[in-house]
Amino acid sequence: MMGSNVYFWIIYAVIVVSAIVALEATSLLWAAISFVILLSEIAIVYFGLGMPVLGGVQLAVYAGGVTILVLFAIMLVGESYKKPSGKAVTAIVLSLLIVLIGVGVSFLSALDTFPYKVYSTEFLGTIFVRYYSIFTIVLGFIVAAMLYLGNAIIGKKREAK
Amino acid sequence: MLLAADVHYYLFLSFSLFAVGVYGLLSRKSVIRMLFSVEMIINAANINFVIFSAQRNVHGEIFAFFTIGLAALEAAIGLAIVIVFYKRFGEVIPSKIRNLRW
Repeated sequence: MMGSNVYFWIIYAVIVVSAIVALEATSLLWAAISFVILLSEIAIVYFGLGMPVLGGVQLAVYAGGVTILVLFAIMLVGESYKKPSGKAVTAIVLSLLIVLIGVGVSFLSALDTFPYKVYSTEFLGTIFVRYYSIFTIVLGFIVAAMLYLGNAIIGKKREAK
Repeated sequence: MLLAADVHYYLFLSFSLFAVGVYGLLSRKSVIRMLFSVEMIINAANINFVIFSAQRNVHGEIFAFFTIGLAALEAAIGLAIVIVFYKRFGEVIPSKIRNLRW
C-alpha cells in the first residue's frame, strides 16, 4: 500500500502540473503538448487500476484523436497570448474552495476503500452487451444530432456569405 | 495492483483536476484553452467513475467509455466552430461571439 501511495503521488503531481501548464503556457503548442502528457497520465492511472481496455481507449481517443484535432486547430487558427482577465483571482479562489469542500466532504462522508477488483475484458463485454447495448442506439442519435448541429452552423454561415 | 491507493486520494485528484478546469474556464479568453478546461472537467468526472468502478462494480467503467466518446465528439464540434469563426472574422474571442444566433 505504501508503494502504491508513492506511485500515486508522483502521478498526481504530473497530472496537476501538466494541467496548470496546459492553461498557463504562453505558446499554445507547448500547452497542447502538456495536454497530451495530462491525458496520457490519466491513461496510466487506468492501466494502474487494472483497466487496460479503458486505458487503451483513453490513449487512442483522447491522447490520439482529440489531440490531433487540437493540433490541427492550432495550426489553422493560431493564438496570440492574452493575459488572464481580472476574473483570475476569483477563479483561483473558487477553484481552491471546490478542492477544500470536495475533499472535506469526501473525508467526512466516511467512504470506505473496498478491495480493488480486476474485470476481464470478456466480462466487460458481456455486461456491455447485456445492459448497455440499447444505449449505443441513443448514442448514435446524439452523434447524428451533434453532426447535424455542426453542419447547420457551418452551412448557414456559408449561405449568408 | 500498482495504484491501489485509498479512495480519498483519488477523490482529491479528481477534485484538483476539476478545480484546475474551472479555473481555466473562468479566467481564460482563448477558446482552445477553454476547450482544454472542459476536457479536464470531463476527465475529472471520468476518474470518479473509474475509481468507484474499480472497487464496487463494472458499470462505472462502461459509463467512462460513453463519456470518452461523447467528449471526443464535443471537442470535434467545438474546434469546427472555432475554425469557422476564424475564417469569417479573423479572430476568435469568446466574449465577442454573438453571431451564432439565428
